[in-house]
Amino acid sequence: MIWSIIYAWALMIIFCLGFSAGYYSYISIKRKFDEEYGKKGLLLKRIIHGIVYILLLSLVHEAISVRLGETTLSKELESITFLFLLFIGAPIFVDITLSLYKIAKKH
Amino acid sequence: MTPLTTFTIIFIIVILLLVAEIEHRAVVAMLAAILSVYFGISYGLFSYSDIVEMLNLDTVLFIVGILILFETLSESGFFDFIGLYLLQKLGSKYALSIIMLIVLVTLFSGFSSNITVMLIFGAITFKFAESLGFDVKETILVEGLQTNVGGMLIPISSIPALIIATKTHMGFNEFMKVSLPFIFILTTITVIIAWILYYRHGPLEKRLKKTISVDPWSAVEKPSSLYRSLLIFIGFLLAISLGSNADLPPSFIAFFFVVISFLLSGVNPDKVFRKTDWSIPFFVGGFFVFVGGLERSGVLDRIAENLVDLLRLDPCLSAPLLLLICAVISAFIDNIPVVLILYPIVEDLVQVMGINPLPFYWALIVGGNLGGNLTTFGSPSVLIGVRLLERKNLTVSMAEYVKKCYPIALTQIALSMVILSTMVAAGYL
Repeated sequence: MIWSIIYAWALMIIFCLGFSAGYYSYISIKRKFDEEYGKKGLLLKRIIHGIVYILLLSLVHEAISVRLGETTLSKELESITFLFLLFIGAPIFVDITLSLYKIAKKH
Repeated sequence: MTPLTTFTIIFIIVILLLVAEIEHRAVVAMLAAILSVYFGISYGLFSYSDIVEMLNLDTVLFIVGILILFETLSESGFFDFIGLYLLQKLGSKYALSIIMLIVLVTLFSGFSSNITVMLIFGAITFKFAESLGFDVKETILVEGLQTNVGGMLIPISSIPALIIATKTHMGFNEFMKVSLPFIFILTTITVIIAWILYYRHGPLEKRLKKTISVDPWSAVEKPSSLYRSLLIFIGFLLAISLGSNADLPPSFIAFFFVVISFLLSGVNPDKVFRKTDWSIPFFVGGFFVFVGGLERSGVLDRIAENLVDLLRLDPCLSAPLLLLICAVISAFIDNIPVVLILYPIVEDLVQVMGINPLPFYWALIVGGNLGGNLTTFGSPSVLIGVRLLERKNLTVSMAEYVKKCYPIALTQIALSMVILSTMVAAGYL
């Protein structure tokens, strides 16, 4: 009983940490885009950023499985890593989609 | 995933990041190195001890030494002094001043970083333009193009030249035997085209009669430092050209003169360290490790398969074509990674095919240097030139850059292909 409570608590903490880290990483990435690159050519950079992000995700999976194999530990570690990355990735894709939508609407 | 797939993904990530310029290029190189080391060791492609070999420490240290020596010479005020001296002497001679500016930018780019030369000569050109009434925009752009031509002058003039010269143990004399004809012909043609396009009608407005009174020594903090720095730099050039006979590693010679320079030149080492572009050694070092990973995982072999057919052609044709390929890629990606990736491929292929490697190495050096002239972002010196103009409210769009610079940039590349082909056909290479 006590172990399952600790397990749930640990999961909650990890989730919260993941959310915070992901949120602040996203804000920092977005600020960098908005401040440094201006509006011209920004969309292309964002799309390339998205592609790089997807490629990095596949490397994360490989990085874990090449060291730990297909074990329970590797799957748990992978889930946590993807959770962290999801918090950065999801808003980036929303941002790219919104940018595309705005451009499509303009034309 | 196989090692080949993983390293191909890393390769694509690196290329995308370099093309999009999302992150600093040194950060991209270090990311590539970290990923290569992690996956390379995990797959058993190499061990930790191999990383030192992959890093090419001698070349990286040589680059650091050169950067410090360049900065010491610049800090002594040498380049500012020469520029202002010329401004004083030639301030009223229209044609001679323009030709001297173009020639000196080319020459000094051989002995200093292109960015430093562009910054110093950019400021001097604005003063000249004010005095002589020529269009500053075209002149700055032509100077930007010429810094990349000057990058082929001696083996230490640009990072691509330095990497290939160090790896192939190409001596100064051997290098300049080929580079001088290139630079002489390209600079002459550039001056002629620029004159026809931009200057033949004379000054834009009625020439201002005022003469500029500048004291060249005002740019020099300590004249004795200038003399000593110059002497030490000449000593370094002599030592590096003779060093290959004495079997001394280039990095040792460079650092010997760095120490001598700090001890004797009177230039403040702190200032030099602050101004040195530290991102270059990190970028080159990181990329060396990354390229080592690509080599061991077989990615370079895959790229090489596409180049085999090209190299099977007559070298009179294949070397210029390689130059063109290298130039086109260098227009969009920094020329250092282009040369770092293509060099091992070409080296392996020429060894296997048993052909003379020199034409192909020169194709990489020339293509890597001139390719940056094809876009405003392809070469740091051109970019600096564009930024200097922007500060004076003279914006240069890509369309305008194409209109103004392509006649020269494309002629330079086409002419280089002809020169290289002629050198191969004549048995000069």
